[in-house]
Amino acid sequence: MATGRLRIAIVLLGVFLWITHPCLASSDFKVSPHADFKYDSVYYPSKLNSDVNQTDQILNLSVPITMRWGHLVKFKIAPVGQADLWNNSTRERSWVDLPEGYGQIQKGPFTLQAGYNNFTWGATDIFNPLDVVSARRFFDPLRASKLGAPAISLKTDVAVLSLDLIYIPKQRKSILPGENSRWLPREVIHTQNFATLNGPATILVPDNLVYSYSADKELDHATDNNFGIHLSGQLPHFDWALMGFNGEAPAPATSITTGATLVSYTPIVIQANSNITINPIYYRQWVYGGNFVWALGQYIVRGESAFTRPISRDGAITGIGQEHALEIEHNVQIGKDQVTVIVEGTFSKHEKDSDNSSTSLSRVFDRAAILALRYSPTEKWNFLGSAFYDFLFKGNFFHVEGSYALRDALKLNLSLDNLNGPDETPIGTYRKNGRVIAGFSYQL
Amino acid sequence: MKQLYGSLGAIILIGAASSAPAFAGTEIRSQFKMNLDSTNFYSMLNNVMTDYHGDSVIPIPDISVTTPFTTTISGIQVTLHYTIPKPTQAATPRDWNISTNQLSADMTVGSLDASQVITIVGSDGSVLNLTVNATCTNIHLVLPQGSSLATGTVHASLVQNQVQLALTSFNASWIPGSWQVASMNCNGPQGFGQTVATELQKRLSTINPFLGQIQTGLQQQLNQIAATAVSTLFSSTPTGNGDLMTFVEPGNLSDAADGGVLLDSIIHFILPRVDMTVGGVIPFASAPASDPAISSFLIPYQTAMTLMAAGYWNGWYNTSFASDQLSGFTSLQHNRFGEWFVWPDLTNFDSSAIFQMQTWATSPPQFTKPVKTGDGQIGANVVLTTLVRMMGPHRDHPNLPQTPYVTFFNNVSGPGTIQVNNGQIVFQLPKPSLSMTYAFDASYLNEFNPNTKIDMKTIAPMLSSYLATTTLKYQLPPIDITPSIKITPTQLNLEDQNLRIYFTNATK
Repeated sequence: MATGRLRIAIVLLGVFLWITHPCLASSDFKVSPHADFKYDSVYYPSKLNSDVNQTDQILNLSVPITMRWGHLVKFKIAPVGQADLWNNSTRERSWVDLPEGYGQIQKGPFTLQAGYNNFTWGATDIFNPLDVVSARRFFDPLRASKLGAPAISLKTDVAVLSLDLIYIPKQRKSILPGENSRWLPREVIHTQNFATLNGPATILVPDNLVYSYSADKELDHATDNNFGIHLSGQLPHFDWALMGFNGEAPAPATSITTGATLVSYTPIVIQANSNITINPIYYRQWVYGGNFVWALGQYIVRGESAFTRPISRDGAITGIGQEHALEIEHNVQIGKDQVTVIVEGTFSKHEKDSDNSSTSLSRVFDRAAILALRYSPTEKWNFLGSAFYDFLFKGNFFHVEGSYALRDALKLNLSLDNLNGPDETPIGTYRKNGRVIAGFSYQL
Repeated sequence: MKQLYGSLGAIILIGAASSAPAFAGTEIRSQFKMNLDSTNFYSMLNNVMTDYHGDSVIPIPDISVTTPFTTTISGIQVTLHYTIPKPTQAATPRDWNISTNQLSADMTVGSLDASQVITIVGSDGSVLNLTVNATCTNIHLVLPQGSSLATGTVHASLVQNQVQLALTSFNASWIPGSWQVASMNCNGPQGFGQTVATELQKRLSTINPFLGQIQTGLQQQLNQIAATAVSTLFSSTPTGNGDLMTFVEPGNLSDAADGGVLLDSIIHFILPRVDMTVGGVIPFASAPASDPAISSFLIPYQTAMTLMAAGYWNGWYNTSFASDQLSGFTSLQHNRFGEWFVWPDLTNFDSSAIFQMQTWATSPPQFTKPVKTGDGQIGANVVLTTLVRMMGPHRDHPNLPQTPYVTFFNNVSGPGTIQVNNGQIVFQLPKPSLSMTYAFDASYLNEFNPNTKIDMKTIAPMLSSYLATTTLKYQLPPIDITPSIKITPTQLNLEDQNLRIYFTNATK
């Protein structure tokens, strides 16, 4: 499948070169190479079973290179690599991807991109339900990265309007956490409804739990011929956008298969056997929605609504849903310093109850409020903090991060994450994944 | 004796009878009809009704527990223990009410093994191959007494000569949730035992599934009682006393007008003292007229005469008394002068001597050509011969046992009447006969050669007067018609040569 996507990308790039080669010879050439290196040492104070890492040593290297021929043609290639050599999950030990590797030609109001690419839609900062075009890698669901996929996008600007058309002939499949990941339920599994049980099941999992993945199931050619349209406009102090996307859901649905023993009738409590198989299901959906950004004096208001209608039919799919976010950003002057404050409220409604798989973590935004702060007292120091409260499942999440720039290119980072919530809720399932991350980044 | 045999010849066959008697003694069979009015009929049924104690073992079909997993509970058995007090007569005819709160029950389940592997599929396609290890033993639930109430109505009717007691309505209930777990040993998932108990209690939330079984059990008991009632009316076991026993063959039972019952059958009279064989069933002389609505007993007049004749052979009319009971006799003894003229030989006895008197009929009494002479009175030609034997103390040794002295012979014939008043049968006889004769005992004559003169003009009235007040005014004993019905005749009438005897009854 990867070979297929690469072949498509090469063809797209070939076509692009054929179109643009007269320009290449007659224009100024400029190349902008960069390299971003990052090291994070992650420590989880809570110990899970011995097959699960309590520490991770993650190396990231990104080498974005941009080549320009005047204003007309641009190539960008940004390979990324990640190494976490001591990770107990084989699939997480090393990772190479090409989130961006495309050519761009811009003429007049038209901009054409072809090649590997990923896309970001939506306007809100924290919960962004319209950001559904690109698949993701869920090794760390709190820092999920997007996957590049072969795509053609055409953008045109007419006056205050802008129209983007996206076609992805072969979408990537989102990648789930490794078998030994902390981001798989390690204490209880909360499933969707079992008619036999008159409701969801809460399944206790043993310490010696071994996860495995079955071959994934792709419904309705979910990865084939994804396409989207994005129309945006600008008014004084008010930007808006409307969009629609038909393609693979960025978070696959999952179900499990396991042997289990009944521990209690009332309430129903089930103890899973040590082997649990996760069955990923990639499905297709329509997502429609819109967003706006409104500058109101010293306040910036952002709003976003997404409506999801699954095209595929399967019991594991959460069904029709709607998700909304509204946030206000304001810069508060404290002495001579400024603190950027963002307050966001989210509301979602889904046809079916959630489970507690890592791909359901977005369900924490069903009823939630977030407070985020950004503070940069000097050019060297930078602080971020955010607090999240889930009104529906009574969970909370705190993130504190500080960085110090030893030099312009070298920064030291320290962050803390803390998660809390009842066992079987989406956030409570991972409450032992509170962590400390210390590291540095270096840019060339 | 020839005379006696001849007078009985028409109605009693001795010796060469067509059938041997079924019982020792004399057996007289007769058609009879008995009308039990509603009061007597209900009284009889009340008498046979009793407390009902029952245990109904009811196997319960397997229960399939589907929540949360299908588990079959089999081998369930419910034992109902009920005590229903004796039914009370209802306001409506032939109905009895039953009511009780004395119902308790046990439910037992031998064992329950719900162990299984179940594959359940969630709405998201998740598959659980769920192992359930669950067993229970010694499951015992109880329904305490007092948690229930049962009421119903029993109706009595006659169907094909049988008394039928039918449970025409029955309602019972127990207080929901009153079943309690007495014991239950369950191993397995937490709450499994409670789930089983809850499911069983759910099945026991209402008595309705058991009503049919309870009704059937009660009806079976009622059937037994009805059979008892029939056997009470028709019993092959004679009942009665040493003089007379009776039983009634199975016959026809039919409804009477006012809720009573009409019994039409053959009655057997057994006089146990003397073995005699009587001919066949004595039929009604004529078809009985319509039956009255009050309790009565109808037999052929001939049956009564046969019974009286047989009574003769069985010593019904034998009696004894003492001379001081004869009006005027004691005065005569103290009048030595008068004794010389009336009974000279008495002067040889002490003036205070008491003579034992024995009397008996010398032939069966005959009341022929009966006619109704009034309400409750029958006229007939009476032929009655009686004998009085006078025993006397030894003239020389008064302390020796008394020996025969004089015998008086009294023959009565002519028109008389019979009637029953307050349990007494009164024979109004012809005037005492002046032809009463006497004879001194031969041994006494030989030993003392007495003066054998007795002035019967003086003595006969004394004897006749006494005989008229004891022998012919006969206190009828209660008659056991059936094991539960003892009747006391209160009146009799002649109906076309049949004798209808009205009675009051006392149930035993």
